[in-house]
Amino acid sequence: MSSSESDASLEGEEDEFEEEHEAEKWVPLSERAEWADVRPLPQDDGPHPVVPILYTPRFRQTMDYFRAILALDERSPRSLLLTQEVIMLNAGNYTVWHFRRLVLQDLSSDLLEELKFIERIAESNYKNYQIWHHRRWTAEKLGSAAMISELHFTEKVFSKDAKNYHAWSHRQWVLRTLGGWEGELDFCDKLLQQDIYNNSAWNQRFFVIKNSPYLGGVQGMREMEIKYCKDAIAVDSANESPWRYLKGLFKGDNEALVRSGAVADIILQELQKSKECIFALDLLLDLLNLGYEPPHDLIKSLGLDKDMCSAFKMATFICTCLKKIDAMRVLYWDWRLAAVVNPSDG
Amino acid sequence: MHISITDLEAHSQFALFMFHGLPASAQPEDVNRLTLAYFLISSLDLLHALSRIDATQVIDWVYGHQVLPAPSLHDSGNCFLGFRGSLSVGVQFRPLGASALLHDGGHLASTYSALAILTILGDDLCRVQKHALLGSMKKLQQQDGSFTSVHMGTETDLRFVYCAVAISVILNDWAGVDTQKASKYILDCQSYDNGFGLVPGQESHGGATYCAIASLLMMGYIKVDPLSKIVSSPLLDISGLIKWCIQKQTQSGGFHGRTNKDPDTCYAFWVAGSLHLLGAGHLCNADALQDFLKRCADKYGGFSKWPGESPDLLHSYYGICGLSLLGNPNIKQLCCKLGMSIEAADRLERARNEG
Repeated sequence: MSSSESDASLEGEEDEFEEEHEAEKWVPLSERAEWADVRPLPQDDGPHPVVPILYTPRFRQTMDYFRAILALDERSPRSLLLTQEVIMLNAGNYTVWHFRRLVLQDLSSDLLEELKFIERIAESNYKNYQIWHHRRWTAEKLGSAAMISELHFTEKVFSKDAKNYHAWSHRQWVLRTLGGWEGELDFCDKLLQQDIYNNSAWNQRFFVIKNSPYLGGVQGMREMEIKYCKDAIAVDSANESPWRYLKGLFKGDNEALVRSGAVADIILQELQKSKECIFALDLLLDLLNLGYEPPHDLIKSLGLDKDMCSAFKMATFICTCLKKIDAMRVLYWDWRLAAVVNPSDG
Repeated sequence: MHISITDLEAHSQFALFMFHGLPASAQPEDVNRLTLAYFLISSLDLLHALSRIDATQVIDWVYGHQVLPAPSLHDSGNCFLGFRGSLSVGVQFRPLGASALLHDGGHLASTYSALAILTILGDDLCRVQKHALLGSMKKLQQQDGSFTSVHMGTETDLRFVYCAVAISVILNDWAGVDTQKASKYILDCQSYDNGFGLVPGQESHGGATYCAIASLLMMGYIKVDPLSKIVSSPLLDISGLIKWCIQKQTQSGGFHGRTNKDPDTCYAFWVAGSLHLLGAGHLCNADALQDFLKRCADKYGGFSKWPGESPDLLHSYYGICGLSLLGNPNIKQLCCKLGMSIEAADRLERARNEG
């Protein structure tokens, strides 16, 4: 491809990009009286720049003035406005956010207004790390007064994207730093009612039972949570989330997992519905590897003869079944099969 | 069937095209120019197409991003003397890098990208101000073991732990990382389902899981068992971790990065790569993954996030990494933990032995 051809197609994209911003009627900084005293500072990209970006005139000029203000370290109201213009063009520029924070502090700006500004910016950038960091900084300055607004802010984001990773991180930070634990378990429940496959909400649920000062910790909540998993699994036993959550309740306590009648009940309940429930078979396999001795009804649920069935044979049988049912992972189940220990090999 | 040389040529063309200029729609990545360059240069290396660019010019351009100590003034005492992601802060281009300005400093991801590019292009790293870089990098490490990416402060998470660890490996010097603290932080990020979140308490995520495993391996906290070829560790439930990863392959053949989400090209690297690092790469369904990647490949080169979308630099690079891990004979083998070809990583190893 010749360079002229490539330039042409890139220009095409540039035009399109300009048009998006055209509606706002941008007045070049060079034509604004309040900026007449500032000499714009161009970017020096060296003699052979790699991945040069074909900046729009607006982007280039706004950055030229920002560079100038940065070099002057001018922490003024007009600088604050300029950072806003840069952020609108590139919310990923961490330098401009940093500088904005310095200006906000020096001008003793109203941080409640700043929260509103962030909300406007976030609407089109809610997956941007810098915005969330700035949000945290602002909330931290406001302290516990910001707790409600911050929880609401994440909820607003969840209403558009209930799995937004940044919003979940922010919410966990708010709970840990500013509080607000009281309603959190109900909040998780609400989101799971809306979407039982929302693994972010499952994770949050675990975060709450583990860390909330009002609940009894993972061990204390275990019984109630097993029940919660049981109900979720009954809705769809092919949903990975509640199965992982269920086993997670016993992380670091294999002995309790093997002893838990409630867990065995869930496995039995699902296998009686279908012998091909992948996650039930998988969990049963894990239990057998941990020395679990299956009761007769569980053996029967798989259609096996109770007298014929040692844990070893059962594990072998399960792996063989899983190879057929879960063909995508046939090599994995083969590997699990190879790891099943035959006690007679002693 | 592996993707043929002819089809791979389109990916080289795509990378070269982007190498020479990006459209204005890339402006939101303006401060990450070095990382964009890394995606392209590592792509071209893996595709045996590095000879089509002028390595000397690129090396000089990369060094132009190095942050040198400021002769006087302000907070350069805490400034991270690594590499800036771009020259957009207003420094003048200098072949060895420029002194820190006000509100200026290196960025961990950009520094990793810079050092990776230099290694891939065969530079001897002699012009890197190693001691200044590592000494100032140490200050980015937080009390909890995590890293912030710039000295002015940003979010801290596993991504920057990985960058600091990879930088230490490339420079063959651990003066910039408290590895014990870093490993403790990583373990704190492990979730109840055995995957890793980006920060403690967060949901397991493919990218975070890769950063965790690669960092633990490079710091020597987990090791590949010479007999089973699988990683073993007293710190982690490795079979649980393998299970988490293997379950991320969806019925479409592609991997998703979080449970119950859509598959995405880049997890052919982050998650399939995690399996690879654990010694369990052979357990995934290679044919199904390859079919998914083929569906994400654009006929004019590049990969998109999922089928039907437009290609972008990040997904194009990780698509090629995915194909490499699948053993495509026309693509160089990937050193998964370091994010460059084995050929490039071996050069580091050789230099180390000679040094």
